[in-house]
This record gives sequence, C-alpha cells and structure tokens, in this order.
Amino acid sequence: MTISIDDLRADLSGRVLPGGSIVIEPHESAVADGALRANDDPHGVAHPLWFVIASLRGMGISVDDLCALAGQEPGDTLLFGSCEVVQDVPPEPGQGYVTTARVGEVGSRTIRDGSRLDSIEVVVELFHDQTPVGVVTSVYLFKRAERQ
Amino acid sequence: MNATAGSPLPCITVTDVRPDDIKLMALILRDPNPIHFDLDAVAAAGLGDRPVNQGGSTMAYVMNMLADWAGSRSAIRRISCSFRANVFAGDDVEVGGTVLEVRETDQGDLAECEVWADVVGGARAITGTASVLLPPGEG
Repeated sequence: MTISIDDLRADLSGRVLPGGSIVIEPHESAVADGALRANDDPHGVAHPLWFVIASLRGMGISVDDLCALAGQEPGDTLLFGSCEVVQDVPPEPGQGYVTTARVGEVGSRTIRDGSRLDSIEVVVELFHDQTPVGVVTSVYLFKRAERQ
Repeated sequence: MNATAGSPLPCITVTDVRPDDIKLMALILRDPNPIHFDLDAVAAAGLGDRPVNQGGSTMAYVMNMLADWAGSRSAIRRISCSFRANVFAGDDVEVGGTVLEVRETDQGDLAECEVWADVVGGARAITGTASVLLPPGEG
C-alpha cells in the first residue's frame, strides 16, 4: 500500500540529511564541460551545473535512499520536477565544498490521469571555507502507481 | 548585447544529443537511473528506444546560453527550471529566452529573464526564469 501523504509529511518535512563534501576534480570538470557542450569561461570558473552535481552528491544519501525514504514501491516513477540554483560565488575546479542538506516542503496532488503525484523538496547549501557559496533547491516527484 | 525588457536572448542549438555524453553525465552526477544508459530499462519504462538525457544536462544548455550572452558563467546569479518533457539521445535542443526586466542592484544591473529549452520539432522540455548580472554599461 502506498504511504499516506500525512505519514510522508510527518516523516520527512524538515528532516536534516547527512550532507557531505565534494571536490570538483579538474578532469571531471573538463569532461563535464565537453559532455554539456559548454564553451570555456574567461575566468576559468567551473560550470554552474556543478551546484546541481554537488547537491546530488552532497545530500549525504543516494537517490535510491531518497526513493526509499519516499516509500517508493515497484511501479512508482521518480521524476526530476524542478531545480533552482542560487550562485553567490562561482565554483572553481580543484576546490572543495562542504554541503548541508535538508528536506523542505512535502506535497501531493492528483494529476490529469488520476495518478497521485507526491513532491519532495530537498535544499542543499554549499560552503567553501565556511563561507556560503550557493543554494540548490530540487523538487523530486514520485508518480505513484495505481494499486488495488 | 541587447538587455532591455522584451528583448530576446540569443538562442543556441545543441545538435544531436550524444548517448555517450549522457553516460558521462550519469557518472559525474552519480545518477544510477538506468534510463540514461540501459535501453532495456528505457523500453521497460515506456520511454521508447533512446536513452533519456538528464534534466540537469538540459538545464546546463540553458546555463550555457546565459553564460555566452553575459560573457561569463559568474554572471548567472540564479536560475530556476521546471522539467516538463524528456530529451532523448539524438534530439536537437534549442534554448533561448526573453529579458523581462532590468533592475539596479548593489552588484550592478541585473536582468530578470524567462528561459526555455525546446526539443526541435517536439515538446518544450524546460521552462524557467533566471537572474543574470550584466556587464558594466550594458544595463
């Protein structure tokens, strides 16, 4: 049986995730630039997508763990609903960043095909030498399969 | 650059999204979702016969467009994207946007923009907004 939205909210809203750290390895930065078809930056800063990469690698839990927390069952589909990046200081290749992470809002609605769509917001903040450099707010969607 | 309210941002087109690039980004993102590299999983999910590009990668194409326009990746102060449709390997993706307003801030003139990414001949994959710091003298 699909987890109820009340249980999901009670369990997840405001929950602090372990967070973590990431180093933007120069070779990974260069490979990502190529894969993303990005032009070189005149100041040599890393691609702003590294905030998103850091948010995924720096939640302190894997996407599979997040699915488990969301009560994902066979047939439920995970979707990336939205993502906001606030860049205060651009990331740089070779630098390390510490991340903190928490679950924000948890919501649910019924979509046009009648399916239940639950949303879980995850907020990841990045720091370099204890200075905040940016925030990523991602919303993961769980389209619940119909169950008897 | 034209940075007045209502002016379009210069579009760019990413041609022929490459399956190998999707695999590279799956590694870099630590994204284990098999729809990015396993065609059996793509078919099982009812998504056809081509790997699915990561939403973040399509968002990065929008960031590329903004950085090219403003002259630097550092100029992008905020970007918010909603993912509305899938992009598949082999697709061409056009990204663009419009300046909504320009306002003065402590750091300089900031352009608030509407942004989008479309599969050429297909659906709108991303809608969003962005705040971009303009080079001095461009506001």
